[in-house]
Amino acid sequence: MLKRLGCIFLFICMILSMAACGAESGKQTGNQAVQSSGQNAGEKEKKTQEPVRIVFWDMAWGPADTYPKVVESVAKKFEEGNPNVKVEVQQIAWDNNYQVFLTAISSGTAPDVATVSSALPIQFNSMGALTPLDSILEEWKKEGKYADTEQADYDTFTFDGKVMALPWQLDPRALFYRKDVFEKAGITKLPEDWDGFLEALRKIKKNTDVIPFVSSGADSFSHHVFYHFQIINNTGMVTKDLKADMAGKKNIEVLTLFNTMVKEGLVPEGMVGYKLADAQKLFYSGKVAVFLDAPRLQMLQYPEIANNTAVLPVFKAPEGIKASPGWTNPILVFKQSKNAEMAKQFTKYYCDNVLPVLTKSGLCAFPVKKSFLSDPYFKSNWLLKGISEEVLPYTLPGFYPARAYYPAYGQINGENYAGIALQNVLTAGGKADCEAIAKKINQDVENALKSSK
Amino acid sequence: MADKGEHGVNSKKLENPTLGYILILPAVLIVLVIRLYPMLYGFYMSLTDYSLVRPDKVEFVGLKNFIDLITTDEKFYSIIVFSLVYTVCVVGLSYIIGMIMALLLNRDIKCRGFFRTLALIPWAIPPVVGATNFLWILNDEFGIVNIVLKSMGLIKNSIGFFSDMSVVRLTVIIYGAWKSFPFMMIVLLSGLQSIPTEIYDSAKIDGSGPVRSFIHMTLPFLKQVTFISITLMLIWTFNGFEDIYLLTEGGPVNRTMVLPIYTYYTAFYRGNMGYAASIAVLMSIILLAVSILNKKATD
Repeated sequence: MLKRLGCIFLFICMILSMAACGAESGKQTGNQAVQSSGQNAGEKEKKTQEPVRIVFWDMAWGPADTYPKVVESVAKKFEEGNPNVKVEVQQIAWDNNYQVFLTAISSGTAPDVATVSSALPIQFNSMGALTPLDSILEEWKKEGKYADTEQADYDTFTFDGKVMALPWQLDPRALFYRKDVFEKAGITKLPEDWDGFLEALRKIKKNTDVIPFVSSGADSFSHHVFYHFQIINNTGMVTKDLKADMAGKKNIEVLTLFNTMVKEGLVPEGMVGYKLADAQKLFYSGKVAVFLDAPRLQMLQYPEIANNTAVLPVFKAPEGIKASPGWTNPILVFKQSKNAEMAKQFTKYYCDNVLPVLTKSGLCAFPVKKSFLSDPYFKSNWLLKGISEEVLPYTLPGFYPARAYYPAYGQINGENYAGIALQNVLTAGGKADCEAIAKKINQDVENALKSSK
Repeated sequence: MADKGEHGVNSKKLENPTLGYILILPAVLIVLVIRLYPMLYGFYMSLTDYSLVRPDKVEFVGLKNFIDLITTDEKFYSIIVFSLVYTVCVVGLSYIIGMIMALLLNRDIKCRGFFRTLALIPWAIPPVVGATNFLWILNDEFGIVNIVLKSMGLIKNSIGFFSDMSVVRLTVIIYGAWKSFPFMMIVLLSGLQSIPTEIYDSAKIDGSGPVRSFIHMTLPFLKQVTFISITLMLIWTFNGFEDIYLLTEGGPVNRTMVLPIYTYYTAFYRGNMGYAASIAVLMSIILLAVSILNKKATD
């Protein structure tokens, strides 16, 4: 009898514990990468004065110890101006962020507002998950703020004639060079085209013992490396009319440039196996002369690097253009939002008041608003000044020469076709058949364009 | 009235399984919901053209995804061949290393517990930590392996563990075996410890050497344990995503691409969930066949 009672007691405990595990609040995704900013989500709202709750998912753009606080302070200021509104800021980790958003959208638990990486709005728009934000642009036109952002930045997130996300920050890529190494190598004039760039790398190899050029070859950053030289050569993965263009003459020239670098030992043999962190380690330990990366404030923490490095001015290919890739990152409103108008108001407010996030949070990104760029912060050190003056004026988006992100971009970018093109050359020991490589990748791009229709 | 046994237990009531089934029912229901339902839904999805890009326009296409996979997908065959080779090599290598370690740790040596704990480290550390460390250790410019080999004069140029197309597959296999051998070791060690030691004494008296004893006595005793450990490791390795993804992301040039990573790209970068589900279903069929073959081989 006692044993039976004991079993039944344990059974009841088990049922109760499973019921407790299953309980979740309305907007939780269950994903452990989502961190609450500390807002008291359990607070019961009085029915008579129920505040409007705006859930804002913000990607972890900056350092964990400084960035979230600044974002929350902007949200707090919005709340002060809108007493009946509560903004709940949640930082989203970069790992699997696309899957986090997909799961949320599919399960009806998407946030009201989110900042995302630049390629995602086209994906979400294809799923019908976004709210158009044209009304915000109309307000800016009335307020005289519209022209503060380049039309091209608005166009980046304009799909089927509607603005589905708003740009708020620019994340450029640049070449960084060691001034001391250039001096030692006898380079007196900085390269103005990529022939000059190759010549500089050759001098470095001949006269110094550092690696002339390095960047990522293994991970998704490798496509940024390839894009960089595609854009300089005024070409891309597709044409303006969204036809596959990898087999075009200009892309073959880019592949040939990298083949030359491999043949002449201007890049490390192991570069195809380098994740970005490996390439950074080499650069920060002083073993590299020229390094391609996003601007990062951590460069300033290494004295040898900080005191001897500069931003290499943008150059072009012989028949190319002076250009450098940059990613305009957006903020958007989800259609699932139950408070769409207030969500749009918060989005507009965030764009208008995001300067502290760009200047005080430790994030190394640049404003899309020209008025923000005139803030003295962006000239406060060689890194920010160099990017602002030497790179930003020539920035073009990664989907160039297309006019905006297109549906196949997710596959082309996500499966790293540009990076694989680069890898093909890096593994060929200087004997790459660039035309064959271009043709093969072009087929992949064509298949991606076809399947996205 | 049932007889009470030696300890005063009502043995007839213990034979009634009804209470046992009732007690495990909640756990079984939960397992069915979180395991069986997604599996069946995945199978259903493989028979449709479900795409994340147009989730509201789903059509039943029958076996089209499977036919396309087998007949028109150019990458599929090279990926599946490497997936199978990788799986067999990792399982085989981890079994051999695990067996050697288990035999060593089965001896009565000092600090045996410490060495057992040490041997578990590869299994215990998070995949990200393991992969990051391997990437650094094997780097061609600053990796300690190349530095030591060059300083000893064993090699003149660095080995491109992740860049040399003829070496990178071996690198990921060795990494996979390194991560997996502790599990094999623990399972085989538990099997070894259940073998009665008297049989070895008898064999010694009969003049049997250590190798002969191992082949004719130890291995037969470990048959069931071997079957279980190899089957589990085959499944985990074939389905494994993070080890290769963290090391090489399936590169360079898709050289180390395996089916789980290919499924992931198909699902989330192409948005083609139906096609991705068909790859996953095919993987399940392969694993089922391999498990059956393994059982037959062990019997």
